[in-house]
Amino acid sequence: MIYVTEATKEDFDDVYGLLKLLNDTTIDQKTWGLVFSDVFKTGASPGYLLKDDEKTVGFFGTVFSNRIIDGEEFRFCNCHSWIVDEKYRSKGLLLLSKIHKLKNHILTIFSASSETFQIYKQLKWKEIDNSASVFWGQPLRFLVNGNIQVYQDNQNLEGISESGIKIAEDHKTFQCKINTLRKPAGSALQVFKEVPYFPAKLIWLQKILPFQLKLGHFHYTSDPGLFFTDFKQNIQAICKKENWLGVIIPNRYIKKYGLTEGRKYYKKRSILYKSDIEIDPVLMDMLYSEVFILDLK
Amino acid sequence: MEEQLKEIMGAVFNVDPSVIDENTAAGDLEKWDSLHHMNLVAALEEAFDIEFDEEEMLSLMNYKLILLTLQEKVQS
Repeated sequence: MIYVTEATKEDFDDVYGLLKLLNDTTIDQKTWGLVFSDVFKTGASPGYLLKDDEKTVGFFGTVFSNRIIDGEEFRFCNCHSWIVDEKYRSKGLLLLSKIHKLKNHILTIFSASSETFQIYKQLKWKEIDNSASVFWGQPLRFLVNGNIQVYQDNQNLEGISESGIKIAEDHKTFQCKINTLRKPAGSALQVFKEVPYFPAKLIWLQKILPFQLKLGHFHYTSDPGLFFTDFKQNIQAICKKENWLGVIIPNRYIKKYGLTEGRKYYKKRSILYKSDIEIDPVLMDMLYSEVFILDLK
Repeated sequence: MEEQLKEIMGAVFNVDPSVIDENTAAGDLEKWDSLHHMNLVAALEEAFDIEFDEEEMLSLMNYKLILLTLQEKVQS
């Protein structure tokens, strides 16, 4: 009999055989194991299994989280790694229908393949503009405004909201950069992921340089008002502290906060969401997802 | 309607429409995977000028159920 059931951490060994079929050789077994180890301590299931009697023939990964956004609580379900044994492909939608039955959740997907992307779109998932722009840091770093302080990691969280501190705690073990911006008007905590950068025309130079050039890809701020006000000064201070050439900001933030677009940056990763709750799509980010757990670039 | 449905299913799943009968279900046709299933949904919506809700889309897993749902939709 074929049925769908919630996965537990004990199912990892069974599911790993399927995950290997995803063909992503950059992710090792230990890292995949994080998906099953309740890294955010929510107690929620790591996903759903498609079973044929005792045999696991499919998996649909989930990362559940409760978030406070703009003072309101939201329940998110990030979906990832939809994989079904070839012989059971006709039953793959049974896994998806479980997710579709979740009420009062905001469902998100950040790593849809081109095939699954089409399926989600037909099921009326909405797509968020995921184009982004690069803003360069000030080359003359000594010109950074002295009223702006930047603290790395969780060094100084004074003035950061409770939800911001929780995000810093929850993400500190992942490959990301957390920093706090402190200005006379207040403090804001940011989460970035570092990405290597080198101009295509000068790629030969990269081999002889003793260091790597990097950009910070913005994912979250605890105080958008503070972070996006005097934005250029803020990113100059952050780039100086983190030693980045610049930052990548998704264009949805640029539009919302009235910034002038920087140099276009193309991201392959689409953002899809589905929700029976009203939410401003700008407020959706990739925290509490496989993008951080599996360190996807 | 039955003939048209078989034609559409045959085209989507790349089989001769004559192999489709009232007992045909998702597991019976090699190409009936999630993507082809959604292609079938889209083809039916276009051909019959109807719209399925998401629950219907995910539940149309055999010929009988598809036909029944189609008949209800077209009549209403």
